Amino acid sequence: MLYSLGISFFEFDRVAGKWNFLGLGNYKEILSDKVFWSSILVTGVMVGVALIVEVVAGVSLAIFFGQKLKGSKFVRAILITPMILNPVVVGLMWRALLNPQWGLINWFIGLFGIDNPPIWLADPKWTLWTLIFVDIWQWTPFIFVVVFARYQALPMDVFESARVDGASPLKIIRYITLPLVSSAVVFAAIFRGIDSFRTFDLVYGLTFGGPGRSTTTLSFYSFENGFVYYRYGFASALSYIMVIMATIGFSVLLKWIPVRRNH
Amino acid sequence: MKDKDGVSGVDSSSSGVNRRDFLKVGATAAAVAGASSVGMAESATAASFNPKKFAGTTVKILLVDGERDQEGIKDKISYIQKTHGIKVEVTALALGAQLEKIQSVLHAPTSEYDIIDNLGFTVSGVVGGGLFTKLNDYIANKELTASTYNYPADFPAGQLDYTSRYDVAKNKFGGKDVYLIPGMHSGSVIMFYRKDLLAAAGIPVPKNWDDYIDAARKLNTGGVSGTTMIAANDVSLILVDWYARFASMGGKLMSGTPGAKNYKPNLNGATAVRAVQHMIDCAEVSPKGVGSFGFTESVDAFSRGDVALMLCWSTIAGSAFNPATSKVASKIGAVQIPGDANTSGRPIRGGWGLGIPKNLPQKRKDAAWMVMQYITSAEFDKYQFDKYQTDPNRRGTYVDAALNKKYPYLKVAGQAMENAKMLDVALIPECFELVGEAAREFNLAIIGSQTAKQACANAQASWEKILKRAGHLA
Repeated sequence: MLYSLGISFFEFDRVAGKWNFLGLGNYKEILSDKVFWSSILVTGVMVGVALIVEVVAGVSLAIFFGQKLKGSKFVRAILITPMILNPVVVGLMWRALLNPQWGLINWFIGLFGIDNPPIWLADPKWTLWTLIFVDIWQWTPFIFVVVFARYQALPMDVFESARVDGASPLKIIRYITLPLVSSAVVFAAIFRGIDSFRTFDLVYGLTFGGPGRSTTTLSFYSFENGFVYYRYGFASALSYIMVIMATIGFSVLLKWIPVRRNH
Repeated sequence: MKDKDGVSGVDSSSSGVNRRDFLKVGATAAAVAGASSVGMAESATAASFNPKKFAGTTVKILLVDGERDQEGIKDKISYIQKTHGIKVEVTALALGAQLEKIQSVLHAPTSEYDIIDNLGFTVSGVVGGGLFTKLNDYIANKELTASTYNYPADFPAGQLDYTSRYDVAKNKFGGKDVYLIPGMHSGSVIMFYRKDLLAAAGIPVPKNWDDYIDAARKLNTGGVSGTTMIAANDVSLILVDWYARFASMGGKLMSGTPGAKNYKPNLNGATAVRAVQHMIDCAEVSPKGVGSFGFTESVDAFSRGDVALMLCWSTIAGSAFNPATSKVASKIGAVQIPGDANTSGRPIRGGWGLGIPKNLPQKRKDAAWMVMQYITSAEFDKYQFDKYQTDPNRRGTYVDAALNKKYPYLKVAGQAMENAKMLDVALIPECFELVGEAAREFNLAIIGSQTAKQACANAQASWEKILKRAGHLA
């Protein structure tokens, strides 16, 4: 950590093989860099949209499967499969599914008479949303697993009492289930939010930040500068700005979301 | 110049050679190479060369994945163990990961790998940084180098000045000091076409860029696309498709020199815009989603029989001639890329160079040289091409009669190789960054998000910013 902080004030000259001190030069360059600001926007949209959908869907699934319906164990096992797949495999799999010539998705859309379905990974209007969709597909199960585990551990007599008192299923969810699982939801959301903020592998595998800069996230931009262009100092400075942003962002989030300690 | 077959030839007045000269040179090289293929392993008896001098050691090789380079070596691991007594281990990584790995191992106290394959566009950064072992003494040493090795005569001159010789003191390509040996593959860009479709439509093989787009439009029928391209946000968009058009339309990419701090790009000139516009026009008669096509997608579409015309690295698309991997293997022709009047169809020079890291103990360097000598030998060059169709490194392989009979595009690839032009910005370590920026802008133009003129203006601005930051432009 300290080493990378140190090199954020330098730039490496590959030909001369030495580090040149730049002071705050890398940080100044980042703040005046258009791509940096567009990456913040892309990352913000990605984290915001994906997290909201993942939390809503994950919690809904946890409550649904909490009803212990017939065959739910089998469906649950299938449901968590995306989460355990290697991100590179996920990227390759979705590239194939979204292939404009022979991909399953556009073939399926074609069955409904749509002749010109979108080019999901090459049209800037769609790429970010495609990326968000794949992220949701892969990571909703994570929220589901965490919340479901908490839900299963809740004392059943509370729910029984509510039913005896005549509470409707919706009221039970609103006034009993959600408050009782809120700590697990917040934990899962923060964990997932931090992970989503660092999203790199999915971008690398699916869009490589393009077309243009339409899917360049902060992490990908940092990777590109560090490991494609060998601007180690610039990439380190970018990473430190990300650390500061994440620390501030999630501290605020923790204060903003109330979590009950005692039920 | 054009030869009587109508094949678009090359400009013999420049640094290149024409086909006749090429064949002559190649015939001589082939004779020597033939001797080499016999002698390499058994030459312990000839002179004082002993391939088993470093028996008992292990040599680790770092290559790129996805270009079939590692396959031949893997086939020959037990052979090398038998003939050299050296155990060989191969690691092949995806391009980005391989470039990253190279940087880390070359700057480590001791390199993890004994032999590293370097992409030509990165040579100024790694060899220019003085990170590789000078090989002149090895080549001159009769105890360590087989008399049949035939360096430099059996290697194309242009390739030697690109992925072999480098002047570290002056930080420029060429000179007398050898740091790399061309390999695992060399190569350039040629044009592939469907003979049957052109013949059925009565269209001659395109010889200039107007002919090319006309032919592509006429052939874009019956479920077949007129052409395909590398149009994804990928460096090969620039290196293969855009640069082939730009250079053979008469464009000059850079003016000035990095040292004089007046190294200025010409990306917003009329020729640059015309080359991008030509790609935009071609996209209209390319397979759907061509804006996301890298070379794999392009070659796959061509090999499936879905496309009539294609420019591509010969080392990548050579597999389209292999019936095992192509539905149209017997229906394909290959020629030099089109060129406008007063220019030649002169493509970009590609290829890799194998080197021995400087940060190795002497004994590991010596053992590495023995293995590197074998995998850059005439014997191995022919084996690798025949089995995997990666472009050869040696002239003798390009003109080998048996291989040409089996793979008719080989001599065309050889000519392209002899006459290819090094990308101007390969002179500076920021090469990849520059190419990446231009690829991003041109990709946006091809998918319709901006015009060719806007893309070129944006690329020009990006390049100037990078060149100024790096101190190549005041």
